[in-house]
This record gives sequence, structure tokens and C-alpha cells, in this order.
Amino acid sequence: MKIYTGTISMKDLKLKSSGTYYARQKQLFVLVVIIVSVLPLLIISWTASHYYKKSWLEKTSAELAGLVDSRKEIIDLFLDNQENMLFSFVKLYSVDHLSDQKNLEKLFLAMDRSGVMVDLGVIDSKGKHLAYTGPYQRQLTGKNYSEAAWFIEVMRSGRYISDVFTGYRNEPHFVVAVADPGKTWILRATINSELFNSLLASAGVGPGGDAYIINRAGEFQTPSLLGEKALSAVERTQVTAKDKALVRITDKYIYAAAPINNGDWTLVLKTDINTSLSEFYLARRRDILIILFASLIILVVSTLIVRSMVNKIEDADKKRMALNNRMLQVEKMALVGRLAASVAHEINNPLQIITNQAGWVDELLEEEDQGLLKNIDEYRDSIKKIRENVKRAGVITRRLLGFSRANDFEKTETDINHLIEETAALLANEASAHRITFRYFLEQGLTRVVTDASQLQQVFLNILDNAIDAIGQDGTISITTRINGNQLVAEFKDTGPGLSPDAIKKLFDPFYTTKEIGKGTGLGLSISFSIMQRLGGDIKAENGKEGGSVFTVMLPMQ
Amino acid sequence: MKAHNENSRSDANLMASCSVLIVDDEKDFVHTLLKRLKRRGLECEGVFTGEEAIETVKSRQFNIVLLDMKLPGRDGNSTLVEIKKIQPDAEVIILTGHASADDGIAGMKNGAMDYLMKPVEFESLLEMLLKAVRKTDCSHSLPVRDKGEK
Repeated sequence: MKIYTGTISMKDLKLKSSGTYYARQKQLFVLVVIIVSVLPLLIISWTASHYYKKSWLEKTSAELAGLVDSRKEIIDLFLDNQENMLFSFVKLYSVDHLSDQKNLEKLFLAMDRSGVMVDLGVIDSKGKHLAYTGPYQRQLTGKNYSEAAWFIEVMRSGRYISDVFTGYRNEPHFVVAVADPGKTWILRATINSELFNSLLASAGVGPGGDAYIINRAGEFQTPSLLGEKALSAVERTQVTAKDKALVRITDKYIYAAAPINNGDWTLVLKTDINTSLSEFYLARRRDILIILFASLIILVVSTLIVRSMVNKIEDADKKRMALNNRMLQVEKMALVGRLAASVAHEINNPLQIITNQAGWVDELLEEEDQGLLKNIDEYRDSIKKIRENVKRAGVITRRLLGFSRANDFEKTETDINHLIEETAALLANEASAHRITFRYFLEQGLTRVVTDASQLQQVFLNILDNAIDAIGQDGTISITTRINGNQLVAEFKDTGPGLSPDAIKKLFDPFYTTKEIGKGTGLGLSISFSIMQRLGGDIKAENGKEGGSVFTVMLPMQ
Repeated sequence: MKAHNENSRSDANLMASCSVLIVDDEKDFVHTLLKRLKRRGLECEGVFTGEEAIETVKSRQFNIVLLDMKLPGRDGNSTLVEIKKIQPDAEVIILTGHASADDGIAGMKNGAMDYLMKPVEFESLLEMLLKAVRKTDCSHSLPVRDKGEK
């Protein structure tokens, strides 16, 4: 029997540790669901956003490069035109002709149709303003430029385009000047730099972008669209385009720069990445929110589903395990039955001999001289005890046979309520001696069940007998009958101390008893168990919610 | 009961005129039981197998047969059937070590008078024998029947 007890407790151990096992399964499932559902979502979102940004940067860089090229061409062409025009005048007219204020004005009027040229002046090789036409006649007439950097440059190389400077006019402008081939005089024109400004303002560098021209020293030649006063050192290194156009991408900006005016100036177009992508970022934030929300829903739904699934599995496992334990108990009982049948005979014969021999000795003692036997009373007492204990052993072997009784039940239509009352009546004297009362909650109108009444009565008797023993003194035994599905259920609830965990496990094992030695055989409940199995029903024991123990007998109604 | 009109005769007298055959493979039991029954005036004999029992009832008339159900060789039931064929008037009391009434009931279906379950107190055994004695008429010595005589 020990082998079986061991197996049961191992199963119980499994059940005990199963709590953490199922919790771990739940976590694992939820984790897997998150990985397979949320992770791809995040990956798709990240790659989509990454590639969108990358392609936008490439496209914008290319556009900016194209833009800087076209603007460079226009500006270079414009500068060339101004220079060439002045050069053709120098060749066409003599210094004397243009030194005449009227002639100069005539020429200025003839060519200044576009409004680009602000003024025109003729300067001799000493730097003296010979003639001037334009809006600043008053300020400039008679000025001497011999010390001006541009004048020195023109006298040296024959041509000059100045940086933008304020000069005497207190207004930003730049100068285009050419000398005659003999460098005896200079024709000088001031160009309105507003043209560049409007050319750059219309460059379309996007919000937060900038477009400007800087000189070799990095000074603004046109105002920054953003109103910057000076170029930062960092930005200057980004936009240094020595001899050809370039595109640079930094964290915040895309720069496109091209050298103009023979490399003296650099045209810079700058696009602010973050501002330009602000809508994209907004959309991306919205996407992230949507993904987070979707992930949250997935998380919640998957957790709920997994929990419900694992709970169902856990329930099923528990039921299966309980069933396995039941099956084990049934098998155990069958084995006990077979064992009992063969053992009973082998034990009963020696018992018969023992009691017979003891009786024989007793009989012979009668004939002895009583006076000579000083221990006669001890002999008699000993013989009596031998015979009593043989009887006791005989009772056990007879009860053991309860397991192996064949299925030759005498099935009759039985009124369970009546049977219960009848059984309780058998114990009424004993119960009242211990001040124990029976309370009945019997469902009326129960259909009669076809079963073996005497065997069933044996089961009820065992349960009630145990209940009385458990209570000891003063208490109640409540008996309830009801129909549950196609089963008839009889419940016996006592106000005793209840069952220990050990007792619940071993209650139906043969020879398990909590009673004193000699008081109980430990067979009653295990026999009841096999009786219920053979009747197609079941019996179980548990502790009541309000204390005491509850024995439930279930019978099929057919 | 045949003995009803003979109430004046004591049980001991009744028993004294009866013969009992004990069939059990437990020799210690048989020997002691023989001694104890003989002291009470019963005429008895013991055998240890079914075959021996059949041989014995063929040669001698017994009023009562005490028959164990589990015997080596021929079992108690078939021995019972055979004994009943040879001596239909002999009262057979089944002794069973199986601790269940099943064997006894099976024996009674085959003509046994009653059964006793081992371990049985000597007093109960005597009582059962007395019951059998009262049932059977030991005063008439019955002739032994041959097998074919039915």
C-alpha cells in the first residue's frame, strides 16, 4: 500500500507547484504574442520612417544642388553681362567723351532700362571722379578714390567686382569697374544688390531655410533670409566651396554651395531639415501614438485571451489529475480486493486453529485439579483474550472481503431519503448519548433510484458513524439530499474538527484510521469507496466552509 | 423438525447417537475438533481431502458432514455434490475460510443445510451441529447406498 500512497503524494506535489508553472506559461505566451505582433509593427514603422527621411534628404539635396546651380548661372551671367557692357563702353567711347556729364547721363539713360544699374561714373587714373550720373551726385562729385581698394585693384588687373559695401552712400551696393586697355581711365557702375536679394529670396529653400552670398572672408554679401548678422564658424566650414558646387548634409541642415564671381563669392542655399520635415515628424508622432495604442490593445487582448486559455488548460489539467487520482484509487481498491480475497482464506484458517486450540486448552483446564494450578485465573484470562482477538481478526478479514464482493448486487428501487432516515435511526441512540442531533434537508419528491440499498446503507452508516466519532460530544450532523444534473447527491456535514490535509489524502486508503487502536479497522471508508465505485457513483470528502467535514455521496439516477 | 416430538431426550443424548464426518485439510483443526466432539459423545471421523471424504461416505453412513470449501484436489463444492449423491439424507454444514457468505450460499444451493465462516467459535459450531442433529433422525441407522442405487 505504501507504494500507492507515495504515488498519490507525488501527484499532489505536482498540483501544488502547478500554480507557478501556469503563471510562467501565461507570461511566456504573452511575451510570444507581443514579439510576434508588436515587434513587426515597430520594425515596419521604424523602417518606413527611416527610409522616408532618407529619401526625402536625397531628393531635397538633389533639388537644392539643382537650385544652387541655376542661381549660380544666373548670377554669374548677370555679373558677366555688367562687366562686358562696361567693357564695350570703354572700348566704344573715349574718356573725353564720357567725362562730359551730359554724354554720361545720355549713356546711363540709354542703358539703364532694367533699373539694375544705380549710377555710373568716370574716374581718371589718379582716382579723381571726372563725371558721375546717378542719385548720389551731390555726395560723390569730386571724390577721390585713389586710396580705395577697388581702385587699386582695377588699376592693377583692368577689371573689378567689389564685395558688397556701404561706402559713402551708406547703403549696401557693389561696384563693377573696368579700365580701358591703356588703364588711363575707369568706367565704374554701382549695381543694385536688391536683384540678388530677390533672386535668393525666391530660391524656395523652404521654411527655416536660408539663401545668401558670402565673400571670401565669410561676410554676408546679401542679407540672410533669417536675419542672421554673421556667419557662424561652424556654418562657414560647411559652405566653403572652393572651385565647384557641393552639397553637405548635417544633422540640422542641408547646405548647397557654389562659387560665383570667379570664386570671390560663394552662393549658399540652406534648408532646415527639422522645419521642413515638421509635418513628417508630426505624422510620425501620430503613427507612433497609433502603434502604441494598437500595441496596448494587443497586449490587453492577448493577456486576457492567454489568461483565459491557460486558466482553462489549468482547470482541465486539474480535472484530469483529479480523475487520475480517482482512477488510481479505484485500481488500488481493485487490487486490495483481489489481495483481500486470497489473504482472507490464508488468515482465517490459522485463526480457526488458534481459537480451537485455545478452546481446547480451556476445556482441559476444567479437568485439572484447580488447587494445584495457582495461575488458573491467568490462564483463563489469557485464553479469553486469545479468543477475543481471534474474533477481532476475523472481523477484519470479513470486512476486507467487502472489497472483493462480486458485482452481484441486489438492485431494487430505493427511496434514498427513507434509506438515510432509516440509517440515522440505527445510530439514534448512540447520537443522543453524545448529544448529537441529526438535521435533515431532504429534497422532497426525489425519484426512486435503482441501487443496492443494503450496500448503500453500509456507506451511509460508515459516514454517520465517523461523523459521530469526529464530533465526540455536542454537535450536529446535517444531511442534505438534492439532484444535480443526472446525479442524486447526498451530503453529510458534521460540526467536528474537520479533516487534516493528510486525512483528506489518505481517507479512502484501506487501514487508514484516526481512531484509537482497536476502535476502527480503517476499512469503513475504503469499502464505502469501492461500494460507490461499483454502484456507478462516487464519494468524496472535504472540509466545510464553516468548519467540520463534508462527505458527499453521488449516485447515478439512470 | 423431526425431533419436535422427542423433546424429552436431551441434546447430549441426541448427539450421542449421531455420527459426524469432518472434512478439512487443516490437520491440527481436525484433530483437536475430533477430540472435543468425541468428549461430547459424538461419533466422529476426520479426513483431509475431498476424495477421502467421498471414499469414507461410500463405506459408512454419516448423519452430519462438516465440509471445508477450500480443499486440495477436489474442491468442497464438487465434494458436496458427490456426498449428496451418495448420502442424500446426510446434513452438510459448510465451513468456509473465505470470510464471505458467497461460498456458503453456493453450498446451500447444492444441498448444504447451512454454513459457518471461519474463524468460528466452538460454541457456535456446537450450536450448528445441534441444529443439524435436531433436523436429522440419528436414531435410524441408514443403510449405505451404492452409487448406482438411486
